[in-house]
Amino acid sequence: MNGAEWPRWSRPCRRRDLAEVAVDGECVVFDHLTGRVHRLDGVASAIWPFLDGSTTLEQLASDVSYVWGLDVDLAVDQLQRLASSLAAAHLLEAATEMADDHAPRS
Amino acid sequence: MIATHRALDHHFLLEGDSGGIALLVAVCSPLADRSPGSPADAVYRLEHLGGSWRSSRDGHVLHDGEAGVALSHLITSVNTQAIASVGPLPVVHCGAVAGRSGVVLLPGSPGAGKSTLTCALVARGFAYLTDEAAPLLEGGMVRPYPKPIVVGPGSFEVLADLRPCDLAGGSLGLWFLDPSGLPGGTTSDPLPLRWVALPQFSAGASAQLIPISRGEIVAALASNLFNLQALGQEALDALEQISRQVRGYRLVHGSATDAAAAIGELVGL
Repeated sequence: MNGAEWPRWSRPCRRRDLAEVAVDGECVVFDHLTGRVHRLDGVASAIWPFLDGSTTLEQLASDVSYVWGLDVDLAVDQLQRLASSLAAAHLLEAATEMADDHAPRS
Repeated sequence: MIATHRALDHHFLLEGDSGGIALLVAVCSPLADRSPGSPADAVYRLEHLGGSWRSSRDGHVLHDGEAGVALSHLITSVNTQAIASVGPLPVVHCGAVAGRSGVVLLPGSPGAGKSTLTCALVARGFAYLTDEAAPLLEGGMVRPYPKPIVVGPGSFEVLADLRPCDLAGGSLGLWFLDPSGLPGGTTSDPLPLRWVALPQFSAGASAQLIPISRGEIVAALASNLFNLQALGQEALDALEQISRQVRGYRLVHGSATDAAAAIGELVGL
């Protein structure tokens, strides 16, 4: 799944089998499947705990725009890119498990 | 069988034909058990068979070929068993030396120059803990693993002053150095970890220590753990605790000698 495929209403969910620790605002994540250690930057680390599969990117963007004084659409764009890069690193649950969450909710 | 040598909690015996045992005993002298009494977990053997050298562990061949390579495989096998012997402690793949205030870890993958830099630091008077594996104890202490230092031809010029006695008529191709014979000597007691320096070779660069964040320290140590896969979350939690007492740097350098000087200035003896 690339950035363009993370619509506003998608609910990215970080993988629950990862080992992780927060160190002075930076998340260090270990993926036992690939054996790789990832260090998330400040923005990714701040967003990471909220990628719980229940919050849409739009909802997150609303919070981000409030906290960091960003335009909502710009925040959505940034979050879509972030979700894309986390997915490319295999740190998010597989897209197939999120299929039901991709439909807009009325 | 009572073991004569010890690598961390791995106790072992050495065997060989006359040439092989002489080489093995000389190379493994840093691991001679000063107070033997534990049963042996393994028997390592080195022998000269029809123009080729064979190293083995408990009868399983490790390498058949040149003496230096056969010895190197044997040391690698000892290391693997030693790392497994300490149980659920995080074990960092790194060089480690100590000044008067504590330990500097130099994590790095094979070929990153850990052994050369470690050697250069011990030659300057830092105490040697290891050039391969450092178990981290509770409270951020580092357990020494004073194995023989193995360096390849790429380091011979830098470490020319440390050239060892030739054990096999010039056929080893590698240097196996006894750290107890170097100026800094060895230490047997655990010492507190104070610094982590990540060596990064850059041709022509002068040595520079660039501070890194605690997150980078944890990520670097985690990336260089031998047993991260086995320990998982437990290891990350331990490293987070340890990182509170440690300063971390990226050590960009163009030569091990300059890098050792920079570390010497940072840490002091």
